[in-house]
Amino acid sequence: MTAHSVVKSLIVLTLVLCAGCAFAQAPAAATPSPSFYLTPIGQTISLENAKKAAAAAVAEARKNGWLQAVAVVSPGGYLVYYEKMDNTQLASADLAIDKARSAALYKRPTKVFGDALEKGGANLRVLALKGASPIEGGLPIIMDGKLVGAIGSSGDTVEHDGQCATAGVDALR
Amino acid sequence: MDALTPIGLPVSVETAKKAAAAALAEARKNNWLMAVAVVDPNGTLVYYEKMDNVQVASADVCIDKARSAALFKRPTKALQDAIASGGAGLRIFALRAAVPVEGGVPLEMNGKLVGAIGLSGGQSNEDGQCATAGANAVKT
Repeated sequence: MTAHSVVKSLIVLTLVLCAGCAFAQAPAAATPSPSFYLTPIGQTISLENAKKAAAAAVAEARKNGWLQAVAVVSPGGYLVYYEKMDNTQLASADLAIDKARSAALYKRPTKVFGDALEKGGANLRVLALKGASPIEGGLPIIMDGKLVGAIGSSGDTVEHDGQCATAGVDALR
Repeated sequence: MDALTPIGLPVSVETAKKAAAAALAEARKNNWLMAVAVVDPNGTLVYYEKMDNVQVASADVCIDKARSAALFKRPTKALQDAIASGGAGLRIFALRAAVPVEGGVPLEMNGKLVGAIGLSGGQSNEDGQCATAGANAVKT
């Protein structure tokens, strides 16, 4: 990883964490960052871009010696691209798709739901949301200001999954 | 491929990509839009891609076809033919995970079942043609 891409990854990670914090720390406002809801929904990500994102996520996994399944879905949650590295735990085949679908359908990183759950109380309602995954590793893909899909990565610790998904999103910036 | 064909190790993602590429090359050559899925012998997804503008329903259908071909060790066309013959053949509808639509083909390598490929997006015979092209590309 070059110094440049490290900095880029850190910025993205910070943004993601801040998004999570905004959701977690503003219960009085009752709504998370409006950006989740107001992002326009664009045309489905092209297969070419989906492959580019997945390749970056897999490259990040390979570089670190992790095994990952990676899925890219449309804004409606339909699969556009998927690949699973050999010997990845088989549960991740579905989990990667579930994470991507959650990030697309709810227009926010799956970590936001995970952070909410951690606070307990009424936040446990997240578990009742259809298609919501509270496991880090799912990120919306925004291009030209529009949601064009999402990426989900699964196969290692949630932090590592998140790192791979972030690398995937970064590849399309 | 028959009922006695041994079940081998899962197809590698590298081989899965090769099968999918051959299947989509066949689609492109004929100007068809297709989604393609490759699964392992247990039906777990190994590789998938969907060409731009394919009918959205095919995203799930191609996976279902691949899974059916792997789990039942036979092309989905065999199930379609059983239903076409009517009578007791209709029992296929009661089999979980069975897809009676052409386009799913088992992958055989070194005499073993290593997975299956499923195509969807065109007429079912076109799907089958692409799936066969994919399976043939990796058959050893």
